[in-house]
Amino acid sequence: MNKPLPACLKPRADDPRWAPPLDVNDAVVRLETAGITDAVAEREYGQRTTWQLAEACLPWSRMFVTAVEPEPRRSAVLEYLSGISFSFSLLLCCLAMALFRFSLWGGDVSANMAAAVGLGTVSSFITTGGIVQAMARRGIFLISVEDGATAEAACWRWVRLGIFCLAASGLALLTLARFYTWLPAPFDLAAVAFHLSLGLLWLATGILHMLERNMWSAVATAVGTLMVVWLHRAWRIELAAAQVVGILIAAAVAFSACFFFLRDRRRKHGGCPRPQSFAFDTYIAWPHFLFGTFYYLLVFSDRLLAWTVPDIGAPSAVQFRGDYETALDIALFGFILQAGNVRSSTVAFFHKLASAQKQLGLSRRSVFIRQMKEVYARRSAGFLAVAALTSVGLYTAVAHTTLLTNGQSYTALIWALFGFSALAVALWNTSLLFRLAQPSDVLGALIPAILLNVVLGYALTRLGAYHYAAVGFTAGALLYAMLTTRSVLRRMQSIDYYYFASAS
Amino acid sequence: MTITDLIDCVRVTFAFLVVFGAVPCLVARISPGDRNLMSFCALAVRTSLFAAIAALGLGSMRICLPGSMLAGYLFLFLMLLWMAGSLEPLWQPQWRAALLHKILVFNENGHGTPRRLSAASGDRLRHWRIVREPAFLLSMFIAVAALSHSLQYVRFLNDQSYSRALSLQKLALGQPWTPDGSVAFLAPVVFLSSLDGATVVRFSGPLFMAVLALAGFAAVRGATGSSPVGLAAAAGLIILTAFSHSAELQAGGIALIFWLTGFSLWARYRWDALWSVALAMLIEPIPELNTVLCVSVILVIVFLARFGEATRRLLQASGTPLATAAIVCLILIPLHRGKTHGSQYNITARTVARITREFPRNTWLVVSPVQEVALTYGHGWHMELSEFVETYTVDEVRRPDFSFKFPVGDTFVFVEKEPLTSRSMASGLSELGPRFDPPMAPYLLRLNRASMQFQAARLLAAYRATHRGTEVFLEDQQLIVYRIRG
Amino acid sequence: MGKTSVLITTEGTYPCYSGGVSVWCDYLMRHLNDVTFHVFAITHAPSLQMKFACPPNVDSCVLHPMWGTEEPGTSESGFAEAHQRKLQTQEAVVASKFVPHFRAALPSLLSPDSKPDVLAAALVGLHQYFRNHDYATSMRSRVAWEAFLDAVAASDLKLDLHEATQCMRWMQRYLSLLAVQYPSVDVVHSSMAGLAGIPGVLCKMEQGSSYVLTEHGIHLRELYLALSKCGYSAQSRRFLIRFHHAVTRMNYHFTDVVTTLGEFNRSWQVRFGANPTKIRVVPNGVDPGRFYPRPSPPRKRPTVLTMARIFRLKGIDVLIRAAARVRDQVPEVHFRVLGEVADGDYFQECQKLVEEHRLTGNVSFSVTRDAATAYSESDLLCVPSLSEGLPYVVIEAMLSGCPVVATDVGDVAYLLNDTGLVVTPNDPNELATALLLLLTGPDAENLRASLARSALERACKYFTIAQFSNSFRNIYQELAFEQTTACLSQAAS
Repeated sequence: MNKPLPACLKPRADDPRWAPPLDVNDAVVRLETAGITDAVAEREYGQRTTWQLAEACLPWSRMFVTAVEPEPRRSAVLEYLSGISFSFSLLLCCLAMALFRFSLWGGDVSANMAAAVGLGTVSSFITTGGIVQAMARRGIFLISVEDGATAEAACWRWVRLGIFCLAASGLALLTLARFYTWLPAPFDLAAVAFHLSLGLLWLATGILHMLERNMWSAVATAVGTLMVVWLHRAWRIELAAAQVVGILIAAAVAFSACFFFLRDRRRKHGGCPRPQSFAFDTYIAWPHFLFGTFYYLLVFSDRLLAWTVPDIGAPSAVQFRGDYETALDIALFGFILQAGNVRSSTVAFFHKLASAQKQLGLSRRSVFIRQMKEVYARRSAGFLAVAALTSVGLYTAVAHTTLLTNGQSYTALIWALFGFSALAVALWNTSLLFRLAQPSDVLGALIPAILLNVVLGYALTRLGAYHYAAVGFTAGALLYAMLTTRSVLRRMQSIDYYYFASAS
Repeated sequence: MTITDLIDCVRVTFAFLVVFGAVPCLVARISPGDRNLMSFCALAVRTSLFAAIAALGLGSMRICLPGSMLAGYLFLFLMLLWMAGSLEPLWQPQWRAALLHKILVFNENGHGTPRRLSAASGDRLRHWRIVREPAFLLSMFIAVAALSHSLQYVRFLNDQSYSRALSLQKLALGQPWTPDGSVAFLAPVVFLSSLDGATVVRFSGPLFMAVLALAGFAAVRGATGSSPVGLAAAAGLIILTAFSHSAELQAGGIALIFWLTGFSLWARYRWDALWSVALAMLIEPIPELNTVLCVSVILVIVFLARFGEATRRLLQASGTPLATAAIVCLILIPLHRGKTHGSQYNITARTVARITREFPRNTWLVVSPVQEVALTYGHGWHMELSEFVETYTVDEVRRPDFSFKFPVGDTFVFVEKEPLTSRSMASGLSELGPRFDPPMAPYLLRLNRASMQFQAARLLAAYRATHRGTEVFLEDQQLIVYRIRG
Repeated sequence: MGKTSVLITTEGTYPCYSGGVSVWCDYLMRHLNDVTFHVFAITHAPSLQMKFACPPNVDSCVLHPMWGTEEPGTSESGFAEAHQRKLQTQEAVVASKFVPHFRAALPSLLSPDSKPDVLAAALVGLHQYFRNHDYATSMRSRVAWEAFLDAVAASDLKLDLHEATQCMRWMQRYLSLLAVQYPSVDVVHSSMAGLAGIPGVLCKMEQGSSYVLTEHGIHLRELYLALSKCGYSAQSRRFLIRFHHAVTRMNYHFTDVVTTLGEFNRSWQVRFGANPTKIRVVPNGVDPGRFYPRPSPPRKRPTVLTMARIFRLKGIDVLIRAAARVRDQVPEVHFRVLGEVADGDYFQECQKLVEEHRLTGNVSFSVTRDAATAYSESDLLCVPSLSEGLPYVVIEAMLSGCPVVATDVGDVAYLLNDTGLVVTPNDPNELATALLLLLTGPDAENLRASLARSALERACKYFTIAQFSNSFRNIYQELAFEQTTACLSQAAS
């Protein structure tokens, strides 16, 4: 054909998604849509019909090669910061502690009150952990399919369930505390108050985390902390009472933010909520619910074991161990630094997976699998390296301060640094397994880890001293890491299939 | 009697029924086997033996604690489930999927479940047979009669009870203790009821009396085939025990239960009979005279019933009168014994109980004779009255600048206005035995106790004269309790 | 003989979306009130609101979201029953009962020369399998994945792993129609030759129902257009075309009657495999009781009306460029675009174009519930579409006495037949010239009146609702009669 190609069969500078026609039908459709009828084809291109014109142009049109634009991707630094954004609230609390010697929860209080706060905090995490995970699982999916209306309705339904669970567990906690005199009255009531208020805060921040609005969690924490400062310093209200009020204020701020963000999503996506089925929610979310609950059991079992070591001279059955808590908080700080790596590594892994898949045909599946195993191994080695650096750095830094005052605390710190490093690796594996829709593997690793943590920690604390609870925690975290690594390696053998089956 | 006594009684009874009733029932459901009263008794023996051995083992390592005991029971149930093959489905994904399916169905149809549940439980309730066996009725009356004393009196009538209470409390707190089989298997009752050893011993004694009646009945009925004879034997046993132990069944009485159970089980459950005997010996390695006497009485009754028609008829006829007599004995004998006060005034015991309830743990000190240790151990601190009067002098405490320097908030000094006397004290060394506590020695002789009380009264009077922070916490005809604020 | 029962199947139209096909469905069901209808609508998301209320003769209306659900083919409400099927779907059962049918279907779906009979038989086998087994579990099984990869490797599609993953996930969604149990009906009437036609094939093969296919726009044509700008790789697009081509060919093969709106569509249908002897032209019809010439209120500005949902095929960007030229000659002209936004990105493009050409005072976007009044308030209707069938808006305008300027797409030229102005599609200049002719040309007012009169006459003669509904009533009765005859003769033999 001597005439230039019709514009609709050539790439356009302002249309990066233009693609060459697949076949004659495609070419004809484009020509007709561009207004090239049979008459125009004959008049301007010398072809009797649009079909003939298409057949003549097709080979030329197919020669155009369109550049494939790479998918936009956030930098690793941003992903890392996004990964640790959940801890901004915690950092604010640390800052408040340094400035005012108290924060949104925690501070210079009596031993019984410290035990009450500790007990309430742990119980709030364990009660709401599963609800938050289940809520996030459903919410993230609904938002990804642009069903903001259902996401909003589902979130509030989970929140109502969470409030019910908090109330029921709070009542159970109070009953057990009174029956077994874990704490003298009214400290058991204080424990329940912290349990309820912190539980509400975790529910709200869970929604914000799901919506990737962690800065608002930090804002809520800041508002709550300021309220505590005002009530305690200006109005001379007792610290614990001021903290409960402050936490409730923070929860209210966070829930308000949730309300507006969810409403915006609903308005943006339109539509109406699909019918809710609790049975379906249960089916989809039960592994995540169990994971959330068991994860916090694993993380906090050692505290409970340390606090409940029988001490015939102690004023109550539950004794807060300040030095042990300080050691673990230092190790937790190291864990937060490593946990940010989980998100960036997971994103990088699946980005690499997609790009490797695009480069390899079906006959090279074994090459693809091998490549992905190498990526996994490199990333895991990175975790270990970061863990070592973080642990050594933290230990060295702490050794030059007076944060820890006795050998037991240092022992606990060393064990906890190991334990949290193993936990970071386990979380990395957990993230991969959840992305590959294998939650049963995660639970299969978590349950034995908790059992080992509890059994070993119990035996060591009762036969030895309370700081040996960290040994149980480390053993549990190590087992969790090992079992999840084994599961990941097993799934890697057919990573192409699991990746396909993980989404639809 | 106060509401607190009643609540504590309910708690101990509940825990008792769970440990010695519900647990064997659960084991019966898990394990394959016969479903009759004797098989239940056999299982009760096994679970009691398990509890005793577990407590002894854990106690020797000083970790007989709620968590360890719970782990032990969980391990027991898991083993039983595994042996019964019930754990295999857990490893099958189909089982988990089927369980999930049931949950999903419940989630979808949950609104109908409460009505179905209430209908099902209603059906179950209708199917329960009210046990009308005379033996069960007798045991219930015996329990009520014995508990009526325990509800009124906090103090024990037998010194062994103090030792046992202290031993149990030390065991339950994971402290060093001397192994004592008669309290070891009560550790689960302590954990479940969340009460101290003294309270558990106080209320478990009457409950064991009821069980003893049942054991006696079962042994004789099994041997003679006659319920009235069994009833008579049970009642006679209770009468004998009431005279020897009042309403507080001691190690010998508890061991007697298992001797008799072994006797009952021998015909069909030989191994369990042997376990029962083993448990009896664990509780009381060397049977005391009373135990031998009771066993002998049972054997005689069996012989008379089996080999004499006239005596058999006589025994049958005497069942109801003897039962009545047993209940009356259980009510009157402790009352009579109580008049001689034993080793402790009831008001002393009640006051100590009140202090443990009202004051925060480990913030107070009780200065009194040794009996109060069993009531204060684990709640607060205790100082022997003998040590108190030996350490301080009147001239010393009279000084205005003097303070006792006890590291507690409150100190309670118990001074008996009428120092106690008791038969056991008069005999001096009659309480020597495996549970003898050396601190008891100074109080065994009346003269020593009276002089100590007098000296204590002088010390406190002198101290009060120059120190305002001292008040009378409680005073009655027999006792005065001083409270010194720290 | 009782009422005829008809299953209407739609995709992306009635009752959750507005548009010509939805209006057609609504008209069909409301005016054939002696027929019992069941509606099966494929939607793109589960959370859509119904835009049309079903008339009383609709017994059931099932919405099947193809996307946006966690598990394709599984209803989220009443899930316990679905879970029971999951329990029955073990790996061994999938391998022995599902995979053979799946393997039989794949070659037809992946090759350019599909065999409709083979494909239909395989789909029927899968449909019967899914009565008692779970769809998502089967389609996500490892054996299904391996079967798919084997089929792709055996075909000439050169998919890489990423494309294979994407294509299998698409297939999971598309074939979720096989997990639905369809009611027993006399006739299945599909509104397109694509996925919405699969129930027709299944009902025909399993129950002996008759199958009618009505195409408004040619499904494959519109698919080609959409794929040309979707950004997928060439192999993925090839997969989609082959898949939909196979389904379309199967639909054409099994249908008893194909109705089309005009000659333009008919030529495409024949090209894509329809039997010419089965094709009948049944143009759309509009209710003249609702759309009729009304006295027009006095207008300050000349008004050009466009009634269309805002998406690319409707050519709104072409209209805006034409409006710029018209505004240069007629500064006070008002271009009124009435229709919902179906493509948010495209709408933003149009708004940007309005700002670029400084047409903010001349172009307005909104929606209306009273289309009849809108025609009477306008000087003319402009249809700048790039692809159409037999657009309702043109018929409505013709009956309302509103002259029409439209692009020569689909059967628009046949529809207007010189009672309106027809221009080349995608040519803003030509469109502007035609609009100016009717707005400012010599004797523009008389020209508009003359065109309106002749258009009204033509529409009343050929394009009323009575003709439309009678045509389909006859088709249903004819098919029902043939069915009865076939049953009787089968019984006799």
